[in-house]
Amino acid sequence: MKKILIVDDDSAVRRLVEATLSLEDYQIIQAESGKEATTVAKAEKPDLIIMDVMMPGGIDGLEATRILKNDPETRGCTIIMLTAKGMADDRKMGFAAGADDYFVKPFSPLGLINKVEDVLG
Amino acid sequence: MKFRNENTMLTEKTEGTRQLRSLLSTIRNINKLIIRERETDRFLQGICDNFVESREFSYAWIALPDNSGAPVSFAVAGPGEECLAIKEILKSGELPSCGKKALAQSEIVVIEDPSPTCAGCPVAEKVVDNVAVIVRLESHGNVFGVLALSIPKDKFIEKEEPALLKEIADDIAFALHAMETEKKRKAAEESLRQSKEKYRLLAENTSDVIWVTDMDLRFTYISPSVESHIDYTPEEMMSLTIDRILTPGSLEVAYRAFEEEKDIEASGLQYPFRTRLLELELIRKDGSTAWTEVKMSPVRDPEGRWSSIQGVARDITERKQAEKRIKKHSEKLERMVKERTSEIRRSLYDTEEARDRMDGILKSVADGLIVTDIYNRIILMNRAAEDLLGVRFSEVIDRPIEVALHDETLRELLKTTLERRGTGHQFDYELQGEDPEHPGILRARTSIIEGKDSKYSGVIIILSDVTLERELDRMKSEFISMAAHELRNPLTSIMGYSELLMIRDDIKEEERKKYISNINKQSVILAEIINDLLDVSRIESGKGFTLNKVPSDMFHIIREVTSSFQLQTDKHTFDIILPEEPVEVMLDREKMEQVLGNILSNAVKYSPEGGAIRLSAKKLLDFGIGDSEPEEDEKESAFRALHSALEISIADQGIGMTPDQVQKIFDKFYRADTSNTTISGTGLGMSIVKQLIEAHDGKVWVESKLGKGTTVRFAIPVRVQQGRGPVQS
Repeated sequence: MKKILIVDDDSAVRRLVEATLSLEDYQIIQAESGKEATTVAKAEKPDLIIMDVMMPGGIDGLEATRILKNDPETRGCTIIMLTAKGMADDRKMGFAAGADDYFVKPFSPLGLINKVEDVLG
Repeated sequence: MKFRNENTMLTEKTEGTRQLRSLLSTIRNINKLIIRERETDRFLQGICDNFVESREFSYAWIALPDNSGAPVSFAVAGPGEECLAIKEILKSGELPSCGKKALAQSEIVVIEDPSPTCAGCPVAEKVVDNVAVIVRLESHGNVFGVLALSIPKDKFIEKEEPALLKEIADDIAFALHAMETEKKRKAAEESLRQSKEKYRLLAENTSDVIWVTDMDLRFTYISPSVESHIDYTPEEMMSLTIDRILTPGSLEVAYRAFEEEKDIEASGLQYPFRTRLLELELIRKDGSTAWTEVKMSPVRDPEGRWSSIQGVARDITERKQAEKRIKKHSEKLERMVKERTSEIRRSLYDTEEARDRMDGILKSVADGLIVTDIYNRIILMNRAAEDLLGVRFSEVIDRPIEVALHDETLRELLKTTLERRGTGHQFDYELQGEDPEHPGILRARTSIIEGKDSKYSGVIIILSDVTLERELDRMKSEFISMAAHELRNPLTSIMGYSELLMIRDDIKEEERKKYISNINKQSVILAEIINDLLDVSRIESGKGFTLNKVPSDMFHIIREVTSSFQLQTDKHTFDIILPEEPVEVMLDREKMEQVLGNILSNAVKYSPEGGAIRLSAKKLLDFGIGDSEPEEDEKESAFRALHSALEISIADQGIGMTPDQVQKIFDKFYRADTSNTTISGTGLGMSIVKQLIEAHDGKVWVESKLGKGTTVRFAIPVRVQQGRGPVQS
């Protein structure tokens, strides 16, 4: 079973993603912040990280992505940015930070499932 | 022998007597000559001739030399060639040596020849047996010359003759002196006569009047030209006194001058040849007046005493008239100039007034104003512009705008804008202000000034400080993005869960229920956010919201709101300290719940570690004006003075605020710390609280200590209605 890490400060979003993806036989782990994401990712080594861009607390989604992509241990993780709709800059910055793909909030759960399947093959 | 001696003696005596007689006769003749003769040469010659004829001298000569000793006048008498020889010597400009000798001494020189004195004298050789008598002619201290006589020895009366001859010589000298004096007198007389003649010519021919008065100011002489001046003849003038011919004013001037001069004269201090110049007005024979300029000076007698006054008078009537004309003319000119000046001054005043008015307008215009001419020189700048740019108009007036501004960037921007020459160009420029974090933003807008004939005649640049606008814009867009962010999250849940419910059949019933509950909860949150936004827009647009004020039990509302909050958080405790007796307040319940909700929400949000949140209420009595304590906030005391009110305070033990944050707390969109997005919110909560409290005629204020906590207090007036019991909650 593939491991997916969902990183978002909003618990509702996390729960929704979990509810969505757990139907498809993925193992879901959660992180609340960018900081937590880096530690959890290192420890759990998920196959996919769904990373919210806007997060408080010093390390936002972009920074966390950068850190993870630079770290040889976690470089292999695929990272999907969860960005706000219409923020073109977020997308650009996300890719610049090393993200592999992006997804827009608010999202359709079906769309999310398809995206995840695409990315994980 | 005795007989012959007696005879000789008798003959000698007779001869002696005869000689004396002839000497006396000579003297008589010479005296006659002295009396009679006036002409020097004839006189001299006459004397010499007399000596020779009457006295039978061999020869006689007189010579009158000048200072160098050369004979100027001379006479020689006597027969023979000796005379010629003497004449030659005298003519040659030399005195014979005997003459020189005699000239040098006052005693008579008697020479018996041969004598060494005569050596070399051509006469001496020819004359033998003679005695020469030479005597100096002097009188009154002057030496005129010498008289020389040559007498045969036998005729010479040795004893008496020299003395007698000396006497004759003195008489001759006296005569010469008298003649000289006479000559001098005659010369002086002639000189005086000539000068008088010249003077007379002058006086009669000049048009100026020459006059002389005595010390009583009566005319002793007046030239004929006086007639052409004042129509009186000189004869008539002599009989007039000056008061007849001078106007009273001029008369006074004349008398005063005369007195002054007399005083000066008496003091003896002044320079003796004084001239005085006066302008006097004369009265003509026909009564008309004329102006004359008189130059006068004192005339002195031989003793130096002031004896008369002489003067020259010139008619200056014409000059005076010309002066008067000029004066009138210049007065007229002055008047014209004055008029013109006051005209100019008036129009200047009007211009100044207009300018002052414009200045006033410019000054009060809050935006900066700069006007440049076609050469880009600054010709106008108002106070606001001075403040914005940090230059004084007086420093930059008429200077090209590039030169005038210190800031290079601004200068460049302005320059390029002005070069473009179009109208309506605009640019924003960042001012380096005191706070580098928050630079001011200056907006410059240019506008072409069209002069006459629609020709380009300059540019108006309007400078506005748009810092605040920008700030507000920034805050608004920040708010909107924040609001959008806030909206997104609940929406994500709603969309997500509802879709899941739609597409999946394999969701467990428990899960299903959870999903639906979530959707509902998020919808509610969404609704709240939207409500807030609507409130904001209402506040923004200035439209009031209507309050539905009903008598309500404040404490009940407090308790209700507080308990619902207690459910949402277990980190916080809510302590309610309220008086037992309920208080009825006229208020809109819904709005009051919102107020309390917003305040409590902040209290919870800003004490993330938890802690106690205390709510208390206090009744404020009507203190009346003047009873307020001086330390209290003015608003508070004034408020208290006017109403009886209910004060509610909500205190948390959270992170508190800085004084700066306290000041801004009621500002729209203001969030104390936007970087910390865990504390979510629209930044409108307290703004809404303030609006709502003030809509109830209340007041709200905040006290806070950083790190300790915040207390929000508000007070609303209580309107106690008579005859009503406690309100049912």
